[in-house]
Formats: sequence, structure tokens, C-alpha cells
Amino acid sequence: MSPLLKAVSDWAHGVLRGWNRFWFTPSMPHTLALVRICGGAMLLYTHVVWSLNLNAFLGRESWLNANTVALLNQDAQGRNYAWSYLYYIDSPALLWALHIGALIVFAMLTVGLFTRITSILAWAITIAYCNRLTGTLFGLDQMNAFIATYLMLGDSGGVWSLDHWLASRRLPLTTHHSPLTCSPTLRTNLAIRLLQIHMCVIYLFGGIAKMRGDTWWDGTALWYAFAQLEYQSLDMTWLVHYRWLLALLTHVTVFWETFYCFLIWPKLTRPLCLAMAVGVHVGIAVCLGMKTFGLVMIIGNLAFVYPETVRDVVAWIVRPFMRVPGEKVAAPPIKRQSLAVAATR
Amino acid sequence: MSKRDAASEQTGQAANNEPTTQPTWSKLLISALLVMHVAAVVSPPLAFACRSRGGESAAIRAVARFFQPYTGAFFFDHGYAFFAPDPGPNHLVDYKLEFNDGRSPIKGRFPDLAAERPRLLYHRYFMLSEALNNRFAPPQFAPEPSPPALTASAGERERFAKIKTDYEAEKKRWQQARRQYEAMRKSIEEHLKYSYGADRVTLNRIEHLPADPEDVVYERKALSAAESYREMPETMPLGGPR
Repeated sequence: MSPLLKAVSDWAHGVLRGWNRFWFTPSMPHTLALVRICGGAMLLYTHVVWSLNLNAFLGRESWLNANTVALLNQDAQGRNYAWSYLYYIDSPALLWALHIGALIVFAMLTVGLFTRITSILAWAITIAYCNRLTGTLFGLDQMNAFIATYLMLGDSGGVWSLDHWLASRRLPLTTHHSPLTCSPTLRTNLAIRLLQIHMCVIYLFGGIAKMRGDTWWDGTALWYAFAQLEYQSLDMTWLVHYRWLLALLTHVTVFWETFYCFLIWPKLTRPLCLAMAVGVHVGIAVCLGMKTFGLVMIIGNLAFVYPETVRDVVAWIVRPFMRVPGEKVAAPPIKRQSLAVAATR
Repeated sequence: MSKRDAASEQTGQAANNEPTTQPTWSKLLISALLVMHVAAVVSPPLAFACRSRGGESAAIRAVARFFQPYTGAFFFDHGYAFFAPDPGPNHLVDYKLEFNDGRSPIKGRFPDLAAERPRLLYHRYFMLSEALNNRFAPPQFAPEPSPPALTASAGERERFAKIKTDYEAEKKRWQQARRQYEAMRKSIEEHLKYSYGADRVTLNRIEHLPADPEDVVYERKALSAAESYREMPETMPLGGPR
């Protein structure tokens, strides 16, 4: 074999090995379970808030009635793929019954009860609401929808769920079963990987879109964000006296957002990238009045925290409050999964 | 948890650090689905990024259209352009309700932070007013392009034919956008009439411009200064080819 062919062959084999390891290594469920608990709670809260004005947003005489929303969802060729059962609900009583059912599903997903079924139902309900509520949505709903999608795919109830607890009670007493033990699965890995990639897509295109604006280059973008009275929840306009700081924060934000998809994978930069994500999204939550959006972005970023870290941190948090059954049982080792590691092997 | 998972716990099976030993065909199938899914997820923001005043990338548009049924059904069709390209002005809606029974007219505005609580509910109203503004399409479209002179060359006539085709496509998009805007406006008006029992309603789109830093530093301009609000016209500018 010629050296050139050998080099190409080695490269192709490396790519295949990396692909195989990245997608097809089973993963423990702790990270996805935490995403389920936090994401499920966010879905529940989001839909509880719709309850406050349910008929005004989803009823027959709503702000944007079903026919209008169907038209808004059409493209220039008249095609509409944004399905929703809520287009067809005219009766307030039926609307409320379905809505209460939806809230119960989200609550069951959060606590991990019948997770396989409730995760699929939660996805269908979330998408149906999003498609019917065109014109009143923002980043929170986009995040809710894609988190619900990947929760449906993975074994999100594999740990820290009522399903897991009930299953452990059904096992014979003679077995040395611990509620802390659980199994790695392929579909959990697929869900986490897809969550990770989707986060990268969101940040990459968020960064690219910002790079087309002048204010992200001249360092004034953050000022114009803080100066939007309709968003403002904490007055940060005093920063106008520190223009260099505003400019620095602007540049750091757009740099981090654009290069997130590269910096999040190596072990060296992942913690820094995640710390930056928390900083930016807490800032959005506190200063720009979007607590839910800031929180849901942080939930999305959880996908990059290793399952063993999630397991250990949660155990450390709950230890003062409760004696964890089976604490002394050694948990199985969990592989740290990193594309960078995979690529170097 | 499945019976198989429970069984694996009983046997004390440790987490496997190696890829699964599934059949190759299964991995190939999953891989193909993954590639299609990731391509679908990327296509809407890519199509959004590949637009400019001159038009949109024909290649990316074709890819985005291919995945449109999937991205539309799964609610993946977003540009993710948060506060981009620049944090711009915000948009509000003023309304005035009038009654035939002699009641005084009612004036209001949404979003209204004092009335809409919690913050997430306020944000829904805020997005509604933003959406009405974003969907605005002027009531008239630009006149048809003039045909070339009778003495025009074949190249000029071909070019005109292309301009005419683009014009017709753009006009079709404008008609759709205008239909959507009118429907949205009408629906909001009908909702307000229904909610208050009013007979007539007038909507005005309001733009709130953010203050420039210099105005705040040197002129002590408040973010809520009256001159930073302006009423948006319903007639101008004319829609037309980009």
C-alpha cells in the first residue's frame, strides 16, 4: 500500500473509531435524569403560566385564533407542517380538561413516573402547544421543545425517578440491590449526544447572527440590550460610565457564543465554557427579565456535565438532608465521554 | 426501568466503557438517521444565516425545503438569532376601544408589566406585540418593472424576463405576508372587542428606541423619554423586490 493510501486509510479508520465511540458507547442516566427533573419542572411551570390566561391564548376568541395561527404557520406555497390538536378545540371545558391532563403529564415526567410513556406524551403536548401558540413564543419554547424531544429518546427515568424506585422495591430482598445503581444504555448516550450537538448548533448560529451586527463589533451591543426598558429587570445602565467594560463583555459574549461548539469538547476548556454559560444566562435571567430562558439554557448546558459528576454532586447536595440508601455500595465506574478524548485515541 | 436493566443490576454488571457490539447494519441505520437529524436541525438556522438583502442562497434554501416537513413538525425551524444582528428597538401595541352604548373609550397598551404577572406571562404579551410588528407587510406592492425598449438586445430581454420572474415570486411572498399580517391584526382586534364588549377598536404599533449611550451620559436622557416612542406607519414603505 502506498504511503498516501495508508495515511488516508488510517484517517478513515480513526474517524470510524471516533464515530463509533462517540455515538455507540452506552451512557449512565444521571445527566439525562437531571435534565428530566429540571426540564420537566420547566415544562410544568411554562404550562402552568398558560393556565393564567388559557382562554385568551388558546380559546376560540383568543388573541390569535386557530385559523390565524394556521395561516401564520403556512409558507408561501401554503404548506403547514406545524401540527397541533389545539387547532380543533373550541369548547372551554374540553380545553381545560386537556390542559389539566397536560400539567399532570409534565408533573409525572418531572418525578419520573411511567417515564417512557410520559416522555412521549410530554413531547407531543409541548410541540402541540408551541405550534398553536405561534406569535407568542421565544427562546424558552424552542429550548423546551428540543429538551422534550431528547428526553423522549433516552432513558431519562433510569435513575432518580419513581420508576426506578418502584422497580427497586419489586426486586427480591435477597439481592444486593441499591437504588443508586443503574445501567448504562445506548439510547441515553444518543439523547445526550443529540442534546450536546443541538446546544452547539444554537450557540454557533446565535454567534454568527450576532457577527452580522455592527454593535457586536463596536462593543455597544450589551449597552443596547441593557437599555431596553421592556426587557429590563435590573437597571444596569450605570455601566454606561464604564464603556470599556461594556465593550469587553460584548466581545467576550460573542466570542464565547460563536466558539462554544469548539471549546465545549476538550476537557481543558469545557469547565470554562460551562462557567461562562452559567454567567451569561444568569445575567440574562437577572438583568433582562428572562429567568425562564436563562434557566432553560443552563439546563441545556447540563448535557455536557459527566454523569459521574452529576451523580457525585447530587449525592453531596442531598447527603445532609437524607441518608441515602445503599450509600456504601460502590457505584459502577462511568466513562468520561469527550469527543476530544475519543479523537485522540 | 425495564426488566433487563433490573437484571443487569442484579448481576452487578459494571458500566461498559466500550462501544456496544450491535450488528453493523443496526449501527449503519442509526448513523444514517443521526446524520439526517443533525442536518435537519442545522438547515433552518443555516438558511436564516444565508439570507441577505440580495436574496438567499439557492443551495441552502433547497436543503432547508427538503427538511421542512420534519423541522416544521418537530418545531426545529428557528434561526436562533437572539439579540441579533443588533439589539434593536422594542415594539408595543396601543389600542383604543370605543362603545356604542355611551361608555367612555378605553385606552391600553401591551405588554404591560404592571398588569401581566408573572414575568413569563408579560413576556408572552411582549412577544405578541413583537410578532405583530415583525409580520407587518405594507398594503401596496411595488409597480411592475418596465419592459425593455423594442430595440433592446436579446440579452436585455432575457434579463428582463428574469427580473419579471423574481418580481412575481416576490409579489407572491408579499401577498402571503400581507394576508398573515391582516389576519393577525384582525384576530387581535376581535379578541379585544370580545373581551371588553367593544364595538370598535383601533390598534397602533409603537416602536420604542433604545437610548444611545451619549444621550444618557451627556443629556441625562431617560430610557422612557417620550421622544423615544414613535408610532409605526401602516402604509409605508412599499413592499417590493429586494
